[in-house]
Formats: sequence, C-alpha cells, structure tokens
Amino acid sequence: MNVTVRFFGPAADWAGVAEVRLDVSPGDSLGRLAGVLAERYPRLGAAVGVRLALNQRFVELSRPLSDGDEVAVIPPVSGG
Amino acid sequence: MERVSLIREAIDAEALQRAVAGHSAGAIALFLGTVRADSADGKTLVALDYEAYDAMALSQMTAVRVRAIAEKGILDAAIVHRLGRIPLGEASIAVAVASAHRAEAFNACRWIVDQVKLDVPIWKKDIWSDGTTEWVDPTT
Repeated sequence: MNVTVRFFGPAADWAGVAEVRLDVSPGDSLGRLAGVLAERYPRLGAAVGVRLALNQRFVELSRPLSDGDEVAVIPPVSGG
Repeated sequence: MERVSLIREAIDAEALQRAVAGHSAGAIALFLGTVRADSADGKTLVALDYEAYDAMALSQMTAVRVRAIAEKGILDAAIVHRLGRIPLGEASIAVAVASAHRAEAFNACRWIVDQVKLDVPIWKKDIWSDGTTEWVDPTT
C-alpha cells in the first residue's frame, strides 16, 4: 500500500523534493515511517523539532497508516 | 467575510473588524502583525515570503478560533493570514476579537496570535537585498 508524503517549508529543501509516494506495509505506524524518512533524508533526520501530520492532523506516532494516507512533514512553524 | 482565511493580497483590517462587530460587543481588539526591517552581514531585508500547508493551516486556525470562543468569554473572532511575498511594513496576520468588555477581547486576541504562531503550518523565508533567501528558524 502507498502513502503520499508532503514536505513543507524548509523540509522540502532538506529532502530535495516536495512530495513522494512511499510503499508501506499494513500495520506500519507513523513512527516507523518517521524512521524511514530520517534515514532516507539525512538532513531531515538531523533537523530539530520536526513534526508529522497524518491527513492534516497532529496525531501520536503510534497511529497505524492506511492506504492513501497523506503524511505531512512539518518543520517548526514560523507564521505570524 | 470568512472568519478564518488565507489570502494573497493586502489584508483589509477594517473588513475583518466589521466581520466580528455586533450590537452585543462593547469591545473589539484588532491585532496586526507586520513585516519588520532587519539587516545582517551588510545586507538588508526586502520582504518575507510566506507559504502554508493550506488545508491544514485553515483547519488549525478554525480550531483555534472555535476554542477561543468556547473558552475565552468572547462573542466572535476572525483570523486572516497573508501568504506569498509581503513587503516591509505590511501586515502578514490580522486577528479581530469582539467581546462585551475589553479585558476578554485583549486576552483572547493575544492568545489567538500565540496559538497561530505555535500550531498553524505556515513558514516564512527572509528575502535579502543581495538576492539571497533564507528560511526563518523559529527555534534559534
């Protein structure tokens, strides 16, 4: 099954892409995906304070992924 | 006017104020966050470039507004954030809050701005006079 990962703000520079589709296994959690992303994009893995959103919400990293989910990589925000 | 919005043109603060106004209100607090001049290493700041995760930013802004109305004793609130390139001196965010008395309006307006800066997925980039650009790191 596939999830879409979107990189926002400085995270797009760190990853070198704005969006990727990744193959994940049934039962994989958001936290497991976080580990995969940190390994695949070392600059992202070294960044401080990055959060992941699942389908536009901040959720626990233990949350299991489903086919078609949208995961967003949210570096520390700087709005206002 | 929408109570929560992301726009790409200049903010109309008076329209935001009118959106929350009503006969039950005895106070309207209006906050504008504006782009401040800066300089570093012989270069000066020209503008800020803002981008957002639009759908999530709108849902987070809506959640902040709903919580403010439920918990802060106010009558209404409206939040608008501008995206794209914003020149020095112009507003990037405006928050308007209406309440029966001034204390609640001041308090809730400040709380809303603080929450937006914490939990709404929006990022800004410095645009410098020498053509370089740099993401603002809020953690430093």
